Amino acid sequence: MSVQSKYGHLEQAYPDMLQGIAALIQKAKLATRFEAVQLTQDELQQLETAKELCEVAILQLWDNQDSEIFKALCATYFDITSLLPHGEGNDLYIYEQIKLIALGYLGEHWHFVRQYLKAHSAKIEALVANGDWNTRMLTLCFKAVVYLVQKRSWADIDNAVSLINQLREEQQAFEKDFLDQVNEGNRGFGASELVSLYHFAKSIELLGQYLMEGRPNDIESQLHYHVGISREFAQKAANITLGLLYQFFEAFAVKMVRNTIWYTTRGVNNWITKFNQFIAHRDEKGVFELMYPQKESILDGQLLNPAHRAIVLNLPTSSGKTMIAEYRILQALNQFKEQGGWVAYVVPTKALANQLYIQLNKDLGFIGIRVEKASGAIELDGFEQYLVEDSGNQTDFDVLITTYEKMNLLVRQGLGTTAERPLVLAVVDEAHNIEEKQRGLTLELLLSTIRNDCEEANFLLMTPDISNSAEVVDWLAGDRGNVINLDLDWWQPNERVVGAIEVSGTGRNYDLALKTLHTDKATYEIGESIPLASFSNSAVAKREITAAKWKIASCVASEFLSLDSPLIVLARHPAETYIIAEQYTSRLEMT
Amino acid sequence: MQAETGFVANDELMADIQAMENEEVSTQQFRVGEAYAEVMLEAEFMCRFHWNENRDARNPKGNKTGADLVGFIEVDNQVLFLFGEVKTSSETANRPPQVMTSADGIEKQLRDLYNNKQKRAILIQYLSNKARLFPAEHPFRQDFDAGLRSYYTQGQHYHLVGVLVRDVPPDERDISVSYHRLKEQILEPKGIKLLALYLPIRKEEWLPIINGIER
Repeated sequence: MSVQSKYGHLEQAYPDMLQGIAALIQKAKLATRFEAVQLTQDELQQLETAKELCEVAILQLWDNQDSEIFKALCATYFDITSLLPHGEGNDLYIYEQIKLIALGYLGEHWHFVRQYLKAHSAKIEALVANGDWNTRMLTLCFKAVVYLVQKRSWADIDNAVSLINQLREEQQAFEKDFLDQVNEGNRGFGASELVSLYHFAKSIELLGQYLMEGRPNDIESQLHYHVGISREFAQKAANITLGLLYQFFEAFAVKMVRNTIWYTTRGVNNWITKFNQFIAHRDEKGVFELMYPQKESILDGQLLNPAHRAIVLNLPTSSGKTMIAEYRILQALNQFKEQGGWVAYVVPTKALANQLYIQLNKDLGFIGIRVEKASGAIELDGFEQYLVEDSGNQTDFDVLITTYEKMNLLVRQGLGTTAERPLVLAVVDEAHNIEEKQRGLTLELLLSTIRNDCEEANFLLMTPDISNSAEVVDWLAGDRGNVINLDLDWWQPNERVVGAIEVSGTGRNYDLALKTLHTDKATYEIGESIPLASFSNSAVAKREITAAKWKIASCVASEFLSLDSPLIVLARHPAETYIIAEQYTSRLEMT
Repeated sequence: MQAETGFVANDELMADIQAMENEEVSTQQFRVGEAYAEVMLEAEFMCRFHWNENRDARNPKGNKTGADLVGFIEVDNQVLFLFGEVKTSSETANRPPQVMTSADGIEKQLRDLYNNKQKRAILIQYLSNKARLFPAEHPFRQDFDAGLRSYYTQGQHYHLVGVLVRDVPPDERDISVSYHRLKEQILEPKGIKLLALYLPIRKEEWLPIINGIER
């Protein structure tokens, strides 16, 4: 698993024309982060060529949009193009941006597309729609598409729909002037372009409506219908740029529909419908669309198929596992809530238990699911004592969040083992702990106890990686186990570099450099070392810096210290953290 | 349209669309000029046009992407992308005629195609999008792959062609001025051709003859 495997598809498509392009893209990525990494004019030209050839390769595979190569090429196109300057002039800029958004989506990169649009929001907002009616239509439609991609809350989607309505209101004021200034022989072309744009605007509005409420049910055929007319009239207008733009938009729109919570979990059960309504319509951080791992887990991985008694979910950190768990929890409760069934969500630490308690209460509490936590150490507090009395038969929570150790204790005391209050699902977070020496034993014991004592229990084990997933599910559920892995092993929720720091020089004159390392987690890697800082006649000598690893880490971090972006330095013990913090405070005060 | 999109189907808009739909291909004179140009280029200059569609970006102001001729040319056994413009003119008051030198004339259009890399990229995307519909062994696909290779391995090697179609007596000045100006800038190494076709039949008669209508 590496970034090389993602970019390698482009290199393999044109081996004689794009040799070494995978390494160059990674270098370009690092150039956006480290001033010392600079691209030459020749390298920028190579990236331009790679972008254009990548697009040709994508078009060649246009009818195989579900293939891994197609997705990798689209993701690669997005990665390259988002690093390069964009075309000037409204029309071409918008064409490039819609293509970038569409191919980003098709490459399962919508989380990066959102970041990209956020970073470029000033330029997009500054786009002026004062020109001719066709340009105004295109510009405002583009802005509406951007709202639909961003959708920080339902208000954004509302803004998108409002822009389309604004265009409808403006039609009478602008359309005639536009047609009148077109040369007599070309009026049909101009009129055709407008008709194509009217249907384009309608398809954007439909997409917005669907994002809001999951209706109309036949959204895909309506989108195909309207974009189909747009394409037909773009051809009549002899405008090949618009024709291509609609082709990209159509694929993007269908992809967005299929990413939504509505499409992915339609008709599963009433709890999930209520949950979807709630998370989409809350004022802040509305969720309309699922990330690639979430969607894959539910659809391809059959997360909600009740036939699977044990599921191991192998997903990278930060790919939205909590929400996946929430869907599985709702599915389990829907099945067993009436019979007193409840769900245990077990985590390795008290801190995590507290954090999840807040999160799940916020997400599930509003739809009537009762969430509780039991996170004390070995002793039982009042609530926990109550839990084990009568095997918890008098309790009425639906989800209990607790630690591995505490859960072990509770189950051994009978909680979840009775027919009145059966444990129906155990969600195990950070399940890779099972491979650790100490924690592993506790977790294995817990799973074994649940498997033996809780007759109705199902399992959802969530982890960035367990090497023997298949054995674990087999142990827990025999042939009713299921392992969910991502098809796209290069997919990552964020971009990372893993490196080692090199300190070279002597005395008070020395340099710090970062040597990127090869990992199996899709991190960026370039051959040469990246200079980070250079000290001459420094107040602190090299031997003082290199006396301990934390001192090196602290020194590097101080070079990147900024109030705008968070920085984490790991120290060995609390005393060291105070020393580092004090150094930074005084440095910040100096600046 | 109104019921479907919420935009009003104004009479004028619909009339413009209707007028265009009513206009038969057989009555569009500019297409005759393009057809002459394609036939001549295929017969005499080893050019190939696999996709027979009106590509002229005759949208308002004519300033969008697109070119009248999008195809391939073989030069020294090498296939190159060919992008070109075609104009028809009977003007004799000016030599060269204004369609060569005006703000949207051939000379300006060819210079745009030369200067605007993005415009060429879109034409290549357009070709790619059409070529994929043909089987791998089809000459279109083979020409496309070869043209792509020439374009991207040799510092963007391609060919520009301008064709002036005339129904007046020949005169070298029709294209020589533009040619000399253009060749200074873009003849080497990209390659450019400017052709003038002189037809002994007045252009008003082209359509009736083609459509088999006796006068």
